[in-house]
Amino acid sequence: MSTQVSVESDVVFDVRHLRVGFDIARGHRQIVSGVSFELRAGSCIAIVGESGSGKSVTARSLVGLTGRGGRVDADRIEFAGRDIRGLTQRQWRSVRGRDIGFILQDALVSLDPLRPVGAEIAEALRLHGWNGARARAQKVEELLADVGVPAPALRARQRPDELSGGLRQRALIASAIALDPRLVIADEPTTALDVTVQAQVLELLERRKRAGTALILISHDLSVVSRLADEIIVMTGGEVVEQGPAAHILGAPSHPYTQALLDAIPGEHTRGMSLTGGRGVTLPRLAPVIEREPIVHAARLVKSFVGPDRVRRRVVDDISFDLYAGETLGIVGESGSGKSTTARLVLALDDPDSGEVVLGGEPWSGVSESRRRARRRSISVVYQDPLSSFDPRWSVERTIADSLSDVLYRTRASRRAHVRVLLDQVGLDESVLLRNPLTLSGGQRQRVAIARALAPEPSVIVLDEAVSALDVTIQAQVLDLLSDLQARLGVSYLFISHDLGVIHHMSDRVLVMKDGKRVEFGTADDIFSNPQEPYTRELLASLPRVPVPVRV
Amino acid sequence: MTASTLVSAPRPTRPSAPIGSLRARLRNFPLAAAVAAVVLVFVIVAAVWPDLLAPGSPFAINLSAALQPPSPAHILGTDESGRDLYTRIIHGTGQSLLIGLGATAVAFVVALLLGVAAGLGGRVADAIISRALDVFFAFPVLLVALLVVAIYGPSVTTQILAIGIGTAPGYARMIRGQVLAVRNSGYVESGRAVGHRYGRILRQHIVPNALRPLVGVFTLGIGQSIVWAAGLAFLGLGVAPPSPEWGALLDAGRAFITTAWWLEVIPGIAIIVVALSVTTVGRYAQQLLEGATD
Repeated sequence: MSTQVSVESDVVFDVRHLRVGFDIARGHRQIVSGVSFELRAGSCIAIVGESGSGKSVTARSLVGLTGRGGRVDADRIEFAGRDIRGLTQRQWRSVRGRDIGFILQDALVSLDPLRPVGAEIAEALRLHGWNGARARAQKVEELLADVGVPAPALRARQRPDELSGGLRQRALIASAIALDPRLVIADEPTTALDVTVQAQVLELLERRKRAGTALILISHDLSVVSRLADEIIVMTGGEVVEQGPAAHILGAPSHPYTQALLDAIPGEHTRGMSLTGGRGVTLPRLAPVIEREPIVHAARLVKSFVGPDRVRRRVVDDISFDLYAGETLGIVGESGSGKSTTARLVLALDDPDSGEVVLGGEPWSGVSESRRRARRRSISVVYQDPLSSFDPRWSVERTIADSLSDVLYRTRASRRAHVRVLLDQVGLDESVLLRNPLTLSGGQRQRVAIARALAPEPSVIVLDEAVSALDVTIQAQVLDLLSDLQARLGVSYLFISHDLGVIHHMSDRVLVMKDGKRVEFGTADDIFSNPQEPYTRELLASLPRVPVPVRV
Repeated sequence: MTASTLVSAPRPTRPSAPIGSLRARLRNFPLAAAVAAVVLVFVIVAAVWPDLLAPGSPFAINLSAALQPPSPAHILGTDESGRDLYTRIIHGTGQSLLIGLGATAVAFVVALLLGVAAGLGGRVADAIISRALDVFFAFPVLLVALLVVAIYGPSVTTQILAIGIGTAPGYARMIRGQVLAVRNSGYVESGRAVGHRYGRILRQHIVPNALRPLVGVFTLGIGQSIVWAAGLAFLGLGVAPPSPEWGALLDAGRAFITTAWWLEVIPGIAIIVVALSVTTVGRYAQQLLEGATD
């Protein structure tokens, strides 16, 4: 570079060949090998990867939080021109907070539950030399106002559990930027948040960036990263596979892994296509049978619960829909929109206060459990966290076999054989049969959950946030599996998700919910390309999107 | 907060190895558990077949050899009637162990019924049982046990009943808590969703998963019951005197504590060693069940 001298001066962070390893029982295990980057004031570098890629370890080791047994080596780590290799924990404490702000994913865990958030932020100020209590209180209010917390004076006195997820995350950001650090490291700052809140948090980070703060963003989500990053580092298995300007990585990735990550993002352009088979591979699809009688008919469902404050609230308020054979009906909404309660009503795990569910032409809600029991096999469910829905004592084989019909599969041998068939259908081989699901990966567990849901040979499967906890490439595999199963078995899905991209990719028709009410209901094309309601438009506008490269 | 929130049931914190590798886990048997297991084998042999370890009669009186300290002839010494203490302890093992196991079994059955009824019986049943347990809790275990012995007179059976009933409320409370957690678990709901009958869900999910974390607690209870039995015997409410039951030995030895220490100390050590061994093995068994070996 020709303008070396003037540019060099605003390099905030300079890392050369960072290596992180952990001492384990037998020797040493390398977790991160060879991360290098140079970060300037007012710019953002994003480290992207899936779980186990080493991205979080990288971030933590940059601020001296590697953890026990961790060893950090690098040819150079310079922060504002100062070598920060080998700082003691005491020295680190003066750097963290004042010069480097650190934002973690889960604000509820990172904030002290017993302390008002204002006190938490004031603590950071006090530790770094703000002495007057009144001056601190005033600064706290300013900071909270800065990050867009309404009524900051009131909020400062509240504890984390009294704040919503979005406000909590903002309070955490306020404490991270309290001392106006030159560098902010954000590890999955929006992962647990609803899209509209996510958009606000990203906006907030963007403002800091424009004000000159350097930003390191850690995320599994390329679309989130695309909003902020100037440069992107793609990691997998502790190695950097690709690094370069954001536009280049997102627009013309050269490494197949980056390509696979991008292809795995579901959305409008992936409808009817495979997410894992490479670009342009279409999936066989059966047209849903809309003319005949619906399999599930939900009419004017209402369900209310009494909250901890003893106020009765309608969680589901006048929801109606029909689900036809072979159809995927997406229910999308933010947390608290009542979509999971709707699922429970459809599964008859709860009865509605009013309204009715009709399953296969016969009344399903409001009938006695003994009359329902035999028909329960026609509708099954896959949850977000499969592990909590498995008996912890049981092997994969027993977990699946337990859902097989006692009438159809009388002998032990026939049950075993059919469990194998089901495993094969979901793409698992029989080596997992005797394992405890606890020892399987997230994707494998979800496949076991799907195999179990298929075991009763249902006509409807309720998928309640079934792919929400999975890494994007694993999510892509599971979504492909679900599409494939639907094409082969003709099963209907009630697909519940907060993720608009997933809903758009999977659904024939979409129901948008907010505060228990129906906002909009229509075909996926109508909802996503021609939304009628302001809330739907707001949701769609909040959705971060990777600029879609032209598909060949 | 809606009712759809699943309360996750207790679950081992670390991933267990595949179920097939139980043998591999046994290979990492720690020393303490190994020693405890050897002691327990010895204790069980003594309980089942005492003559194998101590061929003499525990009641054989030899007044010329009364109150002798431990020596090669009588390795643990003799009592005031010249009976060999080693022989008496070995022959008393069966009764002491029977009381420990029996009392825990009684406590287990009573606690299981109360705990499951409170956990699953709905709000009213839960309130009644829980308050009743609270009242029970206000009385010391010993007082409750004393009451039972006072009514039925001292014998092995009443000891078992007395200690079993006395310790049951604590277990009942733990079982109730576990049942409540498991009842709201995802796998119970999955069982419902697939149309299993309530009895099947209770049998295959709720009871085993509620009890699993308590296996260790119950093995600890065996040792504890032996100690309670010794306490009752010490108060003269245990098994009648000529019996070599360990608590009875303690009670008899009390009179000689200043002149013949071994009559008091050695049965005490026997109780401690057995209680510790059962506890150690129990704790290890619990870890094994939960898949954590260290």
